Amino acid sequence: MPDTISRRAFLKAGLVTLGAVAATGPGLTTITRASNGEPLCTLLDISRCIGCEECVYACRDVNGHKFPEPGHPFPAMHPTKRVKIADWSSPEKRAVTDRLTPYNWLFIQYTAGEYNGKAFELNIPRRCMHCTNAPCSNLCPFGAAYHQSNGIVRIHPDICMGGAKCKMVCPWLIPERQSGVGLHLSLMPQYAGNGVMYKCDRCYDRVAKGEIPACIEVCPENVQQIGPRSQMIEKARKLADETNGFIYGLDENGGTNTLYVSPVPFHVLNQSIATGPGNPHLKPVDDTMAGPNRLIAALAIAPVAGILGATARFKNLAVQADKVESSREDS
Amino acid sequence: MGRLEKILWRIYAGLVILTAFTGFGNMPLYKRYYVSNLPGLSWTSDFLINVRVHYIAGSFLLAIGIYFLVLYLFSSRSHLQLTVTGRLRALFLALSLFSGMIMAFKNLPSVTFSFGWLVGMNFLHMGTAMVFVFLSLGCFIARARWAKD
Repeated sequence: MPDTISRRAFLKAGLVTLGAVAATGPGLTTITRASNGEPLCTLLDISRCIGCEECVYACRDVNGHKFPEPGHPFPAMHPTKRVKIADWSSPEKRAVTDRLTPYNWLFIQYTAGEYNGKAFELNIPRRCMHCTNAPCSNLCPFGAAYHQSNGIVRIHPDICMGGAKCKMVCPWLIPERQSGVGLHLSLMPQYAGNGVMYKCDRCYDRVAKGEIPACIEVCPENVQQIGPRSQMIEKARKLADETNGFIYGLDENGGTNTLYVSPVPFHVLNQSIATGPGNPHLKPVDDTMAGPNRLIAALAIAPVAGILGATARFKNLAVQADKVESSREDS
Repeated sequence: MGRLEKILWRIYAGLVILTAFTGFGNMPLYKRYYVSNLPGLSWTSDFLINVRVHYIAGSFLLAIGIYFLVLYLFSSRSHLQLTVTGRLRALFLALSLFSGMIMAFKNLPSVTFSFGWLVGMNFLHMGTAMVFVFLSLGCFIARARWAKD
């Protein structure tokens, strides 16, 4: 192998590389790797969404191999009244696309109404918000829900017990349970756990290869963009300024790695969308982890308090010993 | 043991029970098994309240643990010697408190653990805490003391 490279060979190699990058799309493959360690964030301009559901079907196609395949019958759960079986595995239920399910990690919320005397119709792609400090990952007792350094919040299907704690602490109640699968079947299937929780993992496997999530790739209207969070915030603010629009996700739950920009305020949109099971709201959300995290100061102070207390006790014992000594001498 | 230590010992016992109770409550069990239906325990099914109580109880337990550790380290060995079960309890308590602190620290914004570390820490915390609780219970029943007379 030669130690030096000629100018012609250098240019030739450069052109081949440029050609290869161009052939893979308009720089898309580099976006997910250009974050310099900063979490990746998606920006959705919902004024562009036409509700075609291309993203919904692309998500199902690309992530189909991750969907649960439960065996039947399911174990009888105890206590029966408290532990409900969640089964979305029938062909009819698997086909549901108008809400979040273990087989549908992204859906479109359709909204229509009036704002400032003008009628509006908007379509909002909804999925996990991938919070910057996600309570689902912080509070999962088994570490099944976790936060990747690139901003993706995942639930590992081999560790999840399906207790749905992640759903209960999620301000949008995003994760959905499928019973009859998962680790709990190998432990105490009737008495602990109840399946596995599923939600959008923002195509972590594609992102790891430098590709972009399927929903972004197939969108014919370029509703979504992905990039480092600081850049996406900048773009969201600019877009909101240009369109007199509003941003959702900037501060919700302490900030999320999903930002929506809408020409209609989100409290107005929230009134005109159907909310309920599998249909997340668009209300303002306080930082769920702020309260518990304030108490971490107590944990930091505790060792100091223990040392100070013990030091004071030693001093006290020394004083007592001196008193005993002096009283002995006096007598 | 002085009067103060006797009072602290009772507080310690109460904190161990409270920390273990809220620790188990971090798993979705209390609503499932009607514990939160008991009078005065409805808060146990609210994970965000449960984790707060766990942190507070854990902080006091840590402070008392450090207090006794310092007393032990700087006391004359002829006055204070731990029994075998005392040493074991101290080891598992220290491990569960240490892993608990790391777990709490992990919940701060922008602190991210790899999946392997996260699962490992979770099971270290749960495992050492459970061993400590059951060991303490066994010692309580068998009237095994922490320190030699």
